[in-house]
Amino acid sequence: MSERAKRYMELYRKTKWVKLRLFWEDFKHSKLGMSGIVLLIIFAIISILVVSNTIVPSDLPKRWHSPEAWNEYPELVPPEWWFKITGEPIFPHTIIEKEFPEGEEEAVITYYYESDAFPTDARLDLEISTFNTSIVRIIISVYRPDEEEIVIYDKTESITERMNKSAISLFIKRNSEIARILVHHFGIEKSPDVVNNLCLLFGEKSPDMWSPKTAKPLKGSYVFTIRVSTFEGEVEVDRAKLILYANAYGLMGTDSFRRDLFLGLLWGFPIALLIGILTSLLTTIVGVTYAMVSAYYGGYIDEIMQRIVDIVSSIPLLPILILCAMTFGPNIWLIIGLLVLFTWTGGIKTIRAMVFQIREAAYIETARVAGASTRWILFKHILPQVLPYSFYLVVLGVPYYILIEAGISYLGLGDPTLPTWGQILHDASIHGATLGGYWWWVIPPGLLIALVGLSFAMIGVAVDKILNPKLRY
Amino acid sequence: MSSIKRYVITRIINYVLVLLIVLSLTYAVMAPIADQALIDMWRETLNARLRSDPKLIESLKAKGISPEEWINQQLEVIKKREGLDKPWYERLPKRVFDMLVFRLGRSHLIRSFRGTRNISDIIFERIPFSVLLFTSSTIILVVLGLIIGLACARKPGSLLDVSFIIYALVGNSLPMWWLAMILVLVFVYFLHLFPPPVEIKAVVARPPPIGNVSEFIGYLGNLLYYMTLPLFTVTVVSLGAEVYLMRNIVLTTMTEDFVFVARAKGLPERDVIYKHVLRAAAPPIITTVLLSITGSLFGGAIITETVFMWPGMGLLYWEAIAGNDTPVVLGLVYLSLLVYLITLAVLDVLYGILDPRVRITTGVTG
Repeated sequence: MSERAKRYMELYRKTKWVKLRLFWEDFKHSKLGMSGIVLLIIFAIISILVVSNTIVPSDLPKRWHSPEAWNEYPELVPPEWWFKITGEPIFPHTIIEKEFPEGEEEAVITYYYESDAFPTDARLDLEISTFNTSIVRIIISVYRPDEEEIVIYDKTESITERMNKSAISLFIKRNSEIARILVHHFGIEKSPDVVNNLCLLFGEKSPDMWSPKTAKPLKGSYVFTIRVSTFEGEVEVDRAKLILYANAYGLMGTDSFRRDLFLGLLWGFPIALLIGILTSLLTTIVGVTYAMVSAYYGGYIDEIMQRIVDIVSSIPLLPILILCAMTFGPNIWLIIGLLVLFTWTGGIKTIRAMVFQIREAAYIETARVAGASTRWILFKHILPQVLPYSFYLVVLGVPYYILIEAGISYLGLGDPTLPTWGQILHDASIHGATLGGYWWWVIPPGLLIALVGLSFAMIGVAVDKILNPKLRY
Repeated sequence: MSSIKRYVITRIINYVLVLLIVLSLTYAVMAPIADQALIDMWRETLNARLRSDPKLIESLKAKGISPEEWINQQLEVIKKREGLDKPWYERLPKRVFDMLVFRLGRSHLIRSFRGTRNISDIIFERIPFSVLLFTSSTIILVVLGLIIGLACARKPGSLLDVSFIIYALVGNSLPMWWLAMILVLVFVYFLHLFPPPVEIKAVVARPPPIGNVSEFIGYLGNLLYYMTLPLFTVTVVSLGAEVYLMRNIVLTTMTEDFVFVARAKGLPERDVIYKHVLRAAAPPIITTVLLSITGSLFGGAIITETVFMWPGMGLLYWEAIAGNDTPVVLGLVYLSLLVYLITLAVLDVLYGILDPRVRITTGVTG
């Protein structure tokens, strides 16, 4: 490189930094833009924390769609803080797990009831071991604070001979047999189909105790006794677990699949940012390079390249995305790839016009005369000039892509290996969350989509203001 | 050749090219899957025939052919008849031609309001619902957008202007279908002001009773009543952006020299705006309006229909995806493409007539 070219380069570097610094100075004065940046930093921190597994269990994406992983969570309950606002009593989520020594035929679990609300469900898990026997009688009785003793379960189970360990899971709320026993015990004149088992089990004795609207919980200690016996051989209780499901849970409640929505919402952050930023960056890089080359060469090359742009930009995006996601199976990388493939033409018109203008400037002529190569001119002279506008394109693209991905997920074509906001809303929609009034399932995911989009849009407006002084905000 | 002729011809050639390219591409992509779906369907019919026809089984036994063998033989015959034994690229021209004349095949699951399974019937029934919803919302949007946009443009930086910029920001960032869900939650679940969306589909999704006048009026009344919430949603979400767009178009026009001259002449501000600025701003306004109709018909806005069970194309997408009805999706994609391209072509020609400067460049989308 000649001495002159080196000097030229040095000078040029300086001006480039000056330009960027001026841009930043302007940007700093925009309140809207700076609040966008602050929001964005918060989202980025959340995303990093989520991806590095510091606040969310690492196997969450895998667990998200498996029902087994969530069966110890309450079903479809609002967030806890909601009950604190409305003043409704909360039943805290309770899991009592006990292991019993060998040879124990009787297991006792004591629970001290002190809430003003009823649990949404109760489940009793038993693990029993049998030796040389295939028939086991299990009796479960509850001793209430008012000294009533109810045998809620008395059954003889046959156990396959080979297995000497078996697990029994008893959901109390939806068990019609328990309902019959309880109705009979308290002498209530209602069909066992309409009563609420939990109100009968934990309620104060009265003729109205069958319905959650009229029942009052009876506080005190409840003793669950599990007795196992057999005629031949031996049987013992290894472990017993009593789960009383809360009527409100966590920060964001749970859905019909008993999933903790807070965890799913957190996982939505990195995915939304990934889709938005990555897609927007890729499309802008492709689009800007294309426009620069097209406009710099001009003539026939430009004509052909613009015809290609015409064709790509006349393809309606959503139908093609739906078609491809259905054909190849939903996959986040596929969606990103397709978005780039069909939307890179976004800002080309403007960039092309800008390059046409820059191309005629005297310093480009000078550079060409000084022997600069086309590549050098394109990347060292023209690119810095279109960079601010490209940045604007990136920023504007992010909310657009986040919305499109959310829409695709909402239609049921989201990547099943990742929990996203759009998918949470899809699940809410097919499970009738809007008609059931489950607002905690519907509002937060969309609000987060809007908030992330908004932060970028705010930055976008601030940049637009600097680049487009004609618009006078 | 005059410039306008040349311009129109280039544009139309462009769109025909796009149509053929995209059709071929989608067909190439979808062919294996569509074929497999067809073969599965035929296998199912053959199986059903075997089960319901004991005589056939006996005659097969007499000939010494097992039922599976018979099914496979029959499948080969059908494949040959339908041309499935040839590779996809040999079938491509026929297939593309079929699509061009709306022979879209039969659906697996979804039926039209009259109960047929003809895909073009199904889709043509749905299109008017989408068009009705989005065209009416666009009309409202344009009127409101122009009025408010002009007010904002006259006093940039005023409270009205700033609040509409923020409105536009928020409206642009939130998913329209999510706001639809919220509105259903509020107006249907909490306030009971509107019937649940399921009812909308049951009442509205049927062939309109054209013969009977009083019945038709009743149907129309129902249609408008059920359209209130969807229409409100679409309008509310897009209004901010519409105002912002109009404002920017007007503001950009206001900095042109001729406006400066008009003001210098001493024309009152009213005349400057209505006689000079608006006239010059008309072409971009008209294009954006038409583009926004097509954009919402084939963009994400259509998803909103699914929330209200509004029986347009968006709901059809949802149903076809949920029922894995690939032929219907394929048909929808084709028709969306066709309508979209036709609108773009019309738009281009219109724009070329309205604004002579465009003819030397390449048009609206390009």
